[in-house]
Order: sequence, then structure tokens, then C-alpha cells
Amino acid sequence: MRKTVLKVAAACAGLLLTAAAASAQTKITVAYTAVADFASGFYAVDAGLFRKRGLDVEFKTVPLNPQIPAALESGSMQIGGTTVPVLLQAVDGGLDHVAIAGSGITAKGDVIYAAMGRPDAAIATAKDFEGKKFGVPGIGAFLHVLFRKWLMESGADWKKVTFVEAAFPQHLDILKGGTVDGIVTGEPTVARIVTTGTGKVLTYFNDTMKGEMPVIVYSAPRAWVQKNPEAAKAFREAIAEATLFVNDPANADAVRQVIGKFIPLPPPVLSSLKFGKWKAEVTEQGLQEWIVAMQAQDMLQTKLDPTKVIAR
Amino acid sequence: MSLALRSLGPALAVPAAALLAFELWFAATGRVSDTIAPPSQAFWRLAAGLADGSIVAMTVETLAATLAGLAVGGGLGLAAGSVLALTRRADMTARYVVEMLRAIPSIALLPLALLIFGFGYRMEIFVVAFATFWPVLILSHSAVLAVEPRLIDVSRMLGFGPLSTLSKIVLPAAAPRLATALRLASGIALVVAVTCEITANPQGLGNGLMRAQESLQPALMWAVLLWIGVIGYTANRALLAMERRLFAHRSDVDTSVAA
Repeated sequence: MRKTVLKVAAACAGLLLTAAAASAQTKITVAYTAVADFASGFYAVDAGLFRKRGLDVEFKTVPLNPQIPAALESGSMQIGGTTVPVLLQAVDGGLDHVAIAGSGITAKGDVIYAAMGRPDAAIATAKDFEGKKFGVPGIGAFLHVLFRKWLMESGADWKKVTFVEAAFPQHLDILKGGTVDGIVTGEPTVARIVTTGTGKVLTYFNDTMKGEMPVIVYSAPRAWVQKNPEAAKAFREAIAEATLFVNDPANADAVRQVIGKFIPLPPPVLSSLKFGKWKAEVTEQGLQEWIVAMQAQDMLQTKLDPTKVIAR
Repeated sequence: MSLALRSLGPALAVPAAALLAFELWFAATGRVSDTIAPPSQAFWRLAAGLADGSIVAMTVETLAATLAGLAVGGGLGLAAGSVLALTRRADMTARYVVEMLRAIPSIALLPLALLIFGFGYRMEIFVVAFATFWPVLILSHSAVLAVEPRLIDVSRMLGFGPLSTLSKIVLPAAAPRLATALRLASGIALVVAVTCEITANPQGLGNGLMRAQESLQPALMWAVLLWIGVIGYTANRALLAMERRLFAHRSDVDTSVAA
């Protein structure tokens, strides 16, 4: 009888300790959009890399990336996976937000993003895009900015190209239906359009890029980072560890499986999913390239200092 | 057989034929699309989503926000509409403010609501409440104004105060019109809640619709869309039935409209 009582008491104490440990973890909700650029974060959650650093991190999908700064400002989420143009425009607009860690990047030679046209499209050079109508996933979104940057650097006038907004899943259908002359899109849509014969790649427009550029960064209000420096540091370390894993080509299938847990793509799409690279560090050079591109496209009102947009 | 049941067959025949034609066209062309899917796949995904509880969970989130927003917006709209109708000075004072504010599309408040409340129920309830407040205010205002003036005279003769007049004379007399206001507002509430979820709030059926689209699952997207239609239709029929039941004894109410 005495032994039973002791066992029950020990079990209760164990439960209490477990509960106390769980409650001691810092709760962080991370906003993300349904793109594979978040794979390092997905893996960090799946492999328990946040938990082992005392962070209780939940990734929560949101419909549109530009809504993330407002959600962070309201306090309903602590960290957001913003595209760099969204973060820079938020800072430009007066919000004191900083990048904590990096996620997906893009660099010269990437075949993840492309401008595509119908199979018979007669577009060979950047100049040929002038006068055409192209669909982009969002006006002012990172692909729109990157593509206009490529047009400028390739000697074309981006103001002579008409851009219309269309979500990724609509790209195949609007290209087929002839609503637009082409689309600026990314994987897995690129592969789906090519394999179904709906269209062809006109250009992988990252070929004029000088270095690499961050696509997604984990950002937060500076006040939150200053109030939770240990949590921000632990978050960055977990992302860095996850980045090593997802960048290893030997782990490609495991990465696809993790992506599938957060973005329930159909198995054929998931198995053929191509992805680029990830980088946990956010560099001044990477942000500066965005700032220059956005200023040239009249997207920024103030002169931004990239060093002030990165949390150290 | 009732008229409603007799008309059901022809009413369903046209959409059924259209769905069959669409299904056959899909089978014949073998079309690949990220936005449209054969109806059979959509029905199958709907059944699967209901069976595994995923669509039920989304439905609960959407209906909770819809009903809470309707309760707040409808309740305040009813109170404001009644007070304005019974108080001439307040009515004159508030007229221009009401006309100006009710012209603001509720969805235009989303960025503001997101900044104040963040993602979640509070944001959605606020937007739904704003959207339902104005039509309920306008309809309850006119419903109270339409109450037979002699009934008000009777309440005065009986020495009723403003609250007794409202609760014992005005609201019972205006109840059928108020019920219609509630029914119309419930439709608006559901539309606004789903729109809010599609454009901003990561929960409920609207978000499920977007998630299905983003993850290239058009069959699930159409399944959720179909289910939203079923919910809207069912809610409307239920409120119509409630109106019929509540006001069947009233000679001043044409319940045949609600059939």
C-alpha cells in the first residue's frame, strides 16, 4: 500500500515537473504564407529544434504576406515570415520592425522563379516584354519587384509592361485562357506549366543578379526583440541549425516531406517540387540590393539603412 | 405533395444537368487545372472533410464568429434603431452621421481591425458586427416607425413609460419586421465572415478555401465553396421557418412570403 502511494506521488510529481517545464517555454506564434521558402522553419518545428531551446513555437499560416506587419504590431503574433519588400515597406512606413533570421534566398542561376509565356510566345529579349500584359502573384510582391529589376537591368522599360495581380494557383489557367501574355511565377507552378505543355520559360530572370538576395526573413517589432533577447537568439540558432539540414541535397526528400506537413500539396506536386537555398543570416548586402531595386521602382519614400533593419 | 416539394425536382434538374455536363466535359478533355475540378471529386472531398471533421471544425469557427458578430451588431443596431425611431431629436441629430458611416464597406475596416485586434475571433467579430449593425439599425428604425400610432396613444393613455412602451407595445408590434431584419443581417454576417477569412483571418471556412487553393487542391476548394452555400441556404430556410412559426397567428403578417 505504502509503495503504491509513493508511486502515485512520484507520478504526480513527474507530471507537475513536465507541466512546469512546458509552461516555462516561451510561446511564439510565427506567421507564414504557403511557400517552400519557410522550409527551414518547418523543419525546426518538426525536429524539435525550437523546443530544445526552450521555445514553444507555432507556425500559423496567414492569407497574405503584407498583412503580417500589422499582425505583429497588434501583438497577436510575435514573429512573421515577411518577404523583404514587405518588411522594408513596413519600416519605410514608420514601423520599427527588424529581421531576426533569414529563410529562403535567391541567387544568380536559380531556376525557381521564371517569366513564362504560351508555347508560341515570341518573346526573346527583355525589350520584347514591353507592351505585354503579365500576371504577377502580387503588385509590389517580391517577384514583381525582382522581375521589374531584371527588366531595368536588361535595358527594358518596366513601365511599358502591364502587370495584373493573380494568385499562384491561377497562373496555369490564366495563361491557358489567354487572359495575359505571360506570368511571373515560381515553383511548383513553373514545372506544372511546362509538363502540361501550357507554356514555356521565357527567362529565369535572376541571371542579372550580382549576389544572393533574401526572399523571406523572420521579422519582429524591435520592442519585442529588446524585451525577449534570449528568445530571439534561441530562435535564430534553431533556424541556423535547421538551415544546415535543409541545404544538404541528401536531405531533399526529407525536406519535401516536412514541407508537405505545413503545405498539404498533392503528392505528385510535392515529389517534383524544386527549391532553392536557405540562409539563416540576414546580410546588409542582401537588404541593400532590395533597397536599391525598390527605390528605383519608386516603392520607398525614405532612405533606409539596412544595418538598422537587422537585429543583432 | 406540397408545392415546395413539387417544385424541388425541376429546381434541382437544371444544376444537376449542368454538373453532369461539366463532369463529362472534364472526363472527355482530361483537362489539368489548379483552379477547377470535376464535381464528383468536389463531392467526394466534401464527404471526406465532413467525415474526418476538418470541414466541421472550420464550420464551427466561421459560425461562432458569424453568430457573435451578429449578436453584437444586431443587438446594438436594434437598440439604436428603436431609440432613434422613438426620439425625434436624436433621430434628427444622428441622421447624417448614420448615412455617412453606413456607407463605409465593412471589409475596408479590415486593415484597421487587424492592427487593433490582430488575427483571431475579435477581429472577425468586429467586422461582422460593423457590417450587421447598419442594416439592422435602418430596418428596426423603419419597423418601429411603422407601428400603428394609435398603439402608442394607447400606451400613453395607460401611463406607460418609454421602456414599457418599447417592451410591451413597440417591439411586439414590430417583431415580424425585426425578424426579417435579423434574417437579412444573418446573410450579410455569413458573407462578411467568410470574406474576412478569405482576405485576412487565418481560420474558418474562408481560410480553408484559400488554403485549398494555395496547396493546389481545387476539389477541396470547390467542396468548401459548396458547403458554404449549403450553410447559407440552411440558415436562411431555418430563419424563414422560425418566422412562419412565430408569426403564423398574426393576421397582419403575410407568412406565405416565408414559404
